[in-house]
Order: sequence, then C-alpha cells, then structure tokens
Amino acid sequence: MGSRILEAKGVKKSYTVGDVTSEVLKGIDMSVEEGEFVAVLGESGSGKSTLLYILAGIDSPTEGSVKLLGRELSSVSDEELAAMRRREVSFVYQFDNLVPHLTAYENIILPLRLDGKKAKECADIVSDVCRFLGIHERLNNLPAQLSGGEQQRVALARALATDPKLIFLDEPTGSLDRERGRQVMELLERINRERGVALVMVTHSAAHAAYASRKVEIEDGLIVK
Amino acid sequence: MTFALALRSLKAKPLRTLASVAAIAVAVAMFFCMFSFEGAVYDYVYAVETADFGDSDIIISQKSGGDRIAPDDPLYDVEGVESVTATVSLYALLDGEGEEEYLRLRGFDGGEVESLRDIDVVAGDISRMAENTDCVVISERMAERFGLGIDDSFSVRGMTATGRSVHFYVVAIAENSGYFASDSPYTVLGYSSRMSSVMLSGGTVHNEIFVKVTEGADISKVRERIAAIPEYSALTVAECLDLGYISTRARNLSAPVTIAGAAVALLCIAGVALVFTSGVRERRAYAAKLALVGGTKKRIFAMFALESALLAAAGAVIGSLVAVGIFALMLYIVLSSAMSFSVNAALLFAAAVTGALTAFAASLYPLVRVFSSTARENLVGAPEKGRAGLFATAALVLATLVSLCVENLLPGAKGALSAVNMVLVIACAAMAAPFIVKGFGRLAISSRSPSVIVAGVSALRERRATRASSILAVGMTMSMLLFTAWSLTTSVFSDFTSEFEDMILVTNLSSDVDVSELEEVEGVRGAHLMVWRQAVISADGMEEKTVNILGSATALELVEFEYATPREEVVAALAEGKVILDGSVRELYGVDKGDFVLLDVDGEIRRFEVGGIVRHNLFNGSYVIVSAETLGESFGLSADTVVLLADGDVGDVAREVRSRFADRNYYALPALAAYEWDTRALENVFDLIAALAFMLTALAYAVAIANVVVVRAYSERTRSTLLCAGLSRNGLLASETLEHAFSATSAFLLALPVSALATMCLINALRMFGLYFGFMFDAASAVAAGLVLSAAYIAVPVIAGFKRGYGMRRN
Repeated sequence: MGSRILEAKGVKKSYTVGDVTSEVLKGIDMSVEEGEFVAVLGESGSGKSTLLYILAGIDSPTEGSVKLLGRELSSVSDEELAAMRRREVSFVYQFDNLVPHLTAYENIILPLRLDGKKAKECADIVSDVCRFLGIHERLNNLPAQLSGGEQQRVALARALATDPKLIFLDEPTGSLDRERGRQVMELLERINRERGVALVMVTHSAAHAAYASRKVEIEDGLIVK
Repeated sequence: MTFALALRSLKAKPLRTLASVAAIAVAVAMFFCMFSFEGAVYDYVYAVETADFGDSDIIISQKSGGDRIAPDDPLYDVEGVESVTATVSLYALLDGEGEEEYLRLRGFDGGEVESLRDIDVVAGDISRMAENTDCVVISERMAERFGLGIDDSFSVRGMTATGRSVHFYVVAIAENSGYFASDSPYTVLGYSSRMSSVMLSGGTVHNEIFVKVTEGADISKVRERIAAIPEYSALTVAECLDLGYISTRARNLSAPVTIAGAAVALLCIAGVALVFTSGVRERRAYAAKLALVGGTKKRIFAMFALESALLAAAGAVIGSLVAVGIFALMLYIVLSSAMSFSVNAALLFAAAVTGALTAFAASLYPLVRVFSSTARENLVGAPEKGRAGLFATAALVLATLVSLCVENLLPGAKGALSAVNMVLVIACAAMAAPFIVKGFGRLAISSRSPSVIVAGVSALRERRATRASSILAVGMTMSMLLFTAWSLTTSVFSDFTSEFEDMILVTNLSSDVDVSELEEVEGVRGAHLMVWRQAVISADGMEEKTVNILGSATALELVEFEYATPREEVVAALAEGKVILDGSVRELYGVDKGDFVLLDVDGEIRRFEVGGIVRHNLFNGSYVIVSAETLGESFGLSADTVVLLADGDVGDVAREVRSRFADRNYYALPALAAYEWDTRALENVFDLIAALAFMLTALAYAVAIANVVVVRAYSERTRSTLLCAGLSRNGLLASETLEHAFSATSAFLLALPVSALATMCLINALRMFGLYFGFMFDAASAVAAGLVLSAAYIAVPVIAGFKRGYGMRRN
C-alpha cells in the first residue's frame, strides 16, 4: 500500500423535493490508499452511490470535504476536474456507459482524444488494454451490437485507457447475469493486482464485495463497518 | 475532436438532422419572402401603374371623352419641360368570332413609339414599323391569346358612329412588360394616324400628352405652369406618378402574405427548438458521459453549439437555394403572372443569417437544462427541481396580461406591441398547457380503471404528455389563427363580390352624358353618375394617403356601408359640402367628425370638414365620399363614371350599352371585370393563406408526431413493466390514447381563447401596415381546425399501430 489518494471528511448530502428534505449521507469519513480495492457495500437507498459520485467529484456534498489525489475538490475548477478525469481518475457505472453513436474503439479512446492525443498515439495506447480485456475483435461495433458484458468491458477499457491511478465503479455488474458478472469481477481483480490501479466499487452484492481488499459497509447514510 | 463528435452526433440522428435542416431551410425561405415580398409586389404594381407613361412626369388628358385635346406646341415653351409625347388612346373591339374582346389602341407619332419607354422585342423587328402605318406591336400575352404571329393581321372595329373596321399587321411581339405590364385590356401600339382612323374617317387626334420635366426641375411647379396655359385650362393636367398609392396597394397585397410567412417561419423555428427539446434526455446523458471521461463544460457546450451551427449553416444554405424558388412561386400565386425579379443578395443573406441565428438559439435553448444540472443528474435524467416552471408560467401570463392592457388601453400603443403580444399569448398557451394536462392527470389517478390511472400517471410524471400539449397548443393556435384569417378574408371578399356583381362601370363619358338614356337600356334598373378617381388625403397627424373619391351621394345606395354616423346625418353632411371618411381613418389617425382634411386632386388642394364616418371592411379606408356637386365646385371635376345596376347577366347588359351607344365610344364593363386584376390578386392571396394554414397545421402535426416517436423510445421499459404487471395490451393502448387525449384537449381548451386573443393582436398589428380592421373571429373555423388536429393526434396510437409494438422485454 502506498500513499492516501482519496480522503473524505464529514461528508453530508441532503436533497429537497418540494417541502421535504431528506438527508442521504449523514457524515461520512473515508479514505483510500494507492493501489487499494475498496468495496462500498450497502442496500438500495443506503446512500452508497451518492457517496461514490461525491468522492469522484461528479456531485458535490452539502457539507464536508473530499480530497482527491491531494486536491480539495471544492476548490478545483471544472477544467482541472475534467483534466483529472482524462488522466488520473476514471468512472464506470452500472449500464449504458457508452456513447451510442460511437464504435467501441471510439468510445475507448474518447478521453484520450479529449485530452488532445493523436489517433495513432491512441491506437498504440489502447491496443494492449483491449487485448488485456479480450475485446480487440469487437472494436468496430457500435454499443448496440455488443452484449451487456462486452459493453462493460469496453467501459473498463475506456477507464483503463488513460492509465488512471483510481477507478470509481458504480455497480459495474448490475446489468449482467451471474456468469458475466463473475467474469467482470475477476477482470477488476486482475486490473487491481496486475496494474496497481486503485478501485472504489459500489455494490450491494457481498459476493462481489469479496473480491475487494477492503470492505466499507454503509447503512442509512452512515458507515457502519 | 469537437468537430468530429458534433458530426457523428448529427449522423447518428439522421431524421432529426433532416427535419431540423428542412425546418431551418423553410424558415430561411419564409424570412426571405417576408423581407422581399412587399418590395417585389411594389415593383410589380409600379410597373403596372407606370406602364402607360414610363418615366414621364406629367399627363395632360381629357376631362371627359367628348373633349378635344389641344395641340402640344405651347408645351415646348414652358420652363422645365424636357420632352413632349402626344399620343392617342382609345378602345376598340377585335373583329372576330366568339366573345367580344376589348382592345386598347395606343397611337404614337412616327418614330416615337419608344419615346415613353423601351420595348423588349421577343419576335419580329420594331424598325419595320416604318414600313407602313398599319404596322403594330403587341404583347406575347396577346399573341398567345389570339394565336397571332409576325406578319399576321387582325382587324378592329371602332365603337363610334364614324368608326370603321381597320386592319393591322403585327411586325413585332414584345415581352409582357413596359407598356404591356398591365395589358388589360390587351394593348396595341401603332401610329396615331392609323389608330385615329378607327374613330374618325380622317385626320389624327391626340388625347393624351405626356411631358417629361428636366432633371432637377420641380414637377408640381411645371404642372402649375402648364395648367395655367389657356389651351389646357379645360383639361386635366396631373402628375403621372403617385408613389403613395403604389405603396399602399403593394402593402395591402403583401401584408397578409408577410404575416402568414412570419407565422410559418416562427413555427419552423419553434419546431427546431421542440425537436431538440424532445431529445434533451438523450443529450443530458451524452453530456454526462462526456463529462465523466474528462470533457469540460466549455468543450461539451462547444460540441453541442457546433452541432447546432452545422445544422443552422446547412439549413441556411439549402434555404437560400430554395428561397428564390418559393419566393417566385408565391409571387406567381399572388400576382397570377410570372414576373421577372432580381434577387437582392443582401436580403437573401439577411434571411439566411436571421434563420440560422434564430434556429441556432432555438436549438441551444434545451441545453439550459443540460448545463443547469450536475453530471449525475444528467446521467440519471433527474426531473426538474422545484416550482420554477409554475413561477415562470405565472410570470409570463402576468406580463402578457399587462402588455395586453397597455396595448388596448394606451392610445397609439397598437402596432408593434400587438405583434409582440401575439407571440406572448401563444407562448403563454405553450407554457400553460402542461398544467392542464397535469390537472387531467390528477383527476385520472382517482379512477378505478387501470388504463385511466396509467394515463393519469403519465400525464403527471412523463414529460412527453406535457410537451405534446405545448406543441399542440402552439400549432393549434396558429392553425386556428390562419384558418380564421382565411375564412374571414374570404367571407369579406365574397360580400364584396356579391355587392359588385350586379354593377357595370361606364367610363370614357362625354360631358353631355344623359343618365336617363342609360337607364332605358334593357336590364338596367338604376344609373348613378359619379366621379370615381384618385386623390390624396391628409390631415393633422395623418400622413398623405392615396384614396378613391366616390364622388356622389348615391355611393351610399351602391355600397353597403356600416354607419358610425347616422345615415341621415351623412346624407345631410354631403349636401353641405362635407366629406365622409372610413372608420379606419379615425382609428388609425384620430381624424373624426368635425375635423378638417385636405384633398389633393391633380395638384389642386382644398380643405373639407369631415361630416361623418362610415365603414366598409374591404375598402379599408381607401376611399372618401364627396358629393359630385362639391367636387365640381371645388375642383371643376365633372362626372367621369356611370355606375349601372343591372339585372340578369351583367355581361349582356354591358354589351347592350356598348351597342346602343356605339357612337359615343363608351367603355362599359362589369365592375368585377374592371377590377379583375385586383380581385384575382386578392383571391390568390386568400388561397395562399389557406395553403399556408394547411401547411402549418400539417407541420404542427408532424412536430407533435416527431415528439411522440422520439420520446416513446425511452418509455419502452415502462410499457413492458406495465404489461408484466398485468395491464392488457388493449388497456395499454387505451391508456396511451387517453394520454394523447389529455394533451390534445388541454391544447384545444387553451388554443381556442388564445387564438381569439392572437387574432385581436394580429388585427392590431396590421396597423403597422396602415391597415385597420375591427375585431373579427370565426369561432366555427377555429373550432373545426382545432378539432381536426386534436382528433388526428388522439388517433395516433391506433393509426400508428402502437399495439403491435407492445411486448414484455427483459428490463
């Protein structure tokens, strides 16, 4: 284990709909070390996804602070945050990760292209990742032509293409059957083990959480274990 | 990369791309028509009005058919006169079988046929006119009508006692422009001597002298000098050109087309906004995905903006290409004749830019939602927060009510503000319709029927139902507006034609005309001698306006006016030498009974008191009633027209008049035939409004259907879930149909009163064009248009076979 790459302190989040305010996160303290695989476990509605989005800088907390890769997210500009997503942090969610009108390959290289890399450069970078994930023969297909498992692997390839330090995963096997879910989990374990990429994964499945090196259990907006 | 992404996004949605480009192209074409139509119609009217005199400035003509014209020699000594062209103009009948055909013969002295304007020869050789005095030039239109070619001959019959049949030889055929721009009746250009022989057994007469003044000279002063010459004192000496009249005529013809074009253009732009709004959920997800892989807000916005810019540019280019064709088609429809026109590149560019910019802005509007939400909200398609929509609608309705009050209560506020209010009331309908849909939804969820409950929940929660109601409210309102406009204008025009269908106008009168003789003609039940000519009216606060003088108290017998001033007071006022004005003059310029106006007849200006106000919807203020005696005393005008009221076939009666009075060269025509060009043009304008009304209704329907197609794709899972939960396929179809009914009914309930308000605003906005009409609304037409559109929308689930697509799928 290396240095701390993610640190959340006193994170609270509440939503107001009409006259009703509901507190989803009630004060979360959490940290992730470099190369760590953390599973955030909890029932539906426990606030685990909200926590993940806040940790990734996609949503903002009502109270508290999040420090990602040494930078306080509340003071990071939109440009800096976007640059972090292009180079250091990736995000994979449950389903429908891909831009429907781009091919699998174009989806994978999207963050690289947005970062200004040339097409040739991108090809060199992602070929290894695509072989690693076993999707090198499906690269010219549109997402609609891929199975759910293939789509998730393309999403993982895109997440890995930028060689990130940390990947956030929101129920990455949620839309897959058990067998494909198991395959994706094994792949994530390999990514973590062989590439040293830290993973923060939200799941409600204890079996999937078992692949992680550390489990954080959340219930009713608070970490209970 | 931004460009590539924008391009891929456009390619991925070919239907949306094509629909948007087509809508923008139509909008650009309509903007071009709006910008150019009045100018082109003006050019046409100008060409028709100046057909006789070209660039001459002054015309000296008879006050009646019996007057002899003086020689032109004294004119050459008048200061400011550059050139003089003496001509003869008379009517004759074409010899031949079949229906009688009037011709207008215009004779010039040797070599002067092109002295007033150039002739564009399309066949033959104009120089051959020097061969003989019986050589003539005719128009392409006439050549085609009578099958005449070069070196063909035809003969005409004079309509005077001394007249005879005279032969002519066609040596040249000219374009339907210049002298031939009007060509009703067909014009024949030849030698004065030969033309005169149609009327007289010998000698040459001139009855129209055209004078061109030297550059920089004051035309009115030259006219005064000529009028002061004793030889011309008994003649009419008038300025040729009346630009005010030409402007008014062009504006009257083009205003309805301009407004209808604006409505279509606005609907197209609204359509672009709606197409993009329909796809906003997908765009939110796309923006979120880009944000998650490192796209900055600026970059994502740039990509969407570039996508919109590409659409706008493509629409502008295609629109510019088709604009000229659509414009030519509209001109052809309105003017009933192909006319050459030059395309003003600056106006075309302005139309393209206007269309492109408004479409660009409209397509970006839905992005407000994308960028006001977080990436996560965009990803999960989180609904709008709070009551912003309700507050915005309430604010808009309030602002509109205030603006309507200002428009109707503040003197002089009607006009541009009315146009703004028309847009505001339609926007109110669009924003308020969703709340009525939700009201239906609330009622429906308390039902026991599962289909009704499902429809109610959809109405309350699904944006497709509320959005459809907005689309339909806008489309229905505009459709009702145009169908009402069509129905009303057609009905007013029908009243006008039925009022005039039994009238015959007899002109080219001699000064000793005896009306009682005309009354004796079989089929004539009344004859009214009157002055019927143009004058310029002005007053304090009223700009100069060209009107027709109805110079006889008997005008009240001929035309069915509405009396703002009691009829007996009007009759008394006319006897006292006062003038009677149309109600529109009071409404537009505040000139009322007891005020004074100036009438300018051929440069002579007199002041008159307004003795009363009457109203005629179609004439719309383009007339003033004065007694013939007053005109005689004030301007020395004698009656120039007899209006006959006839029973039976007015054509037969007119022929009988010509035959009975052949020795006086009377020009007798049924009134509707005399104004054939104007009536045809108006009919064509109404047909065009009808075509636009149908087009707009179809467009509104298409946009509503597009919304259904785009948005339904997202609810497939919901439908599948409902089927899984036990709702039957028929039940699901019933719920979707009911949901459509909620949207259509909400739109209809709003569109009906809003279209009445919009009609009021439209009528008030016409004041910008110097047109005034009282409030008119044809509820029956509006209801019919609304019901058809509603029924068509409600029937979509059944017609489109939604049921076939129902199935339980893996969620």
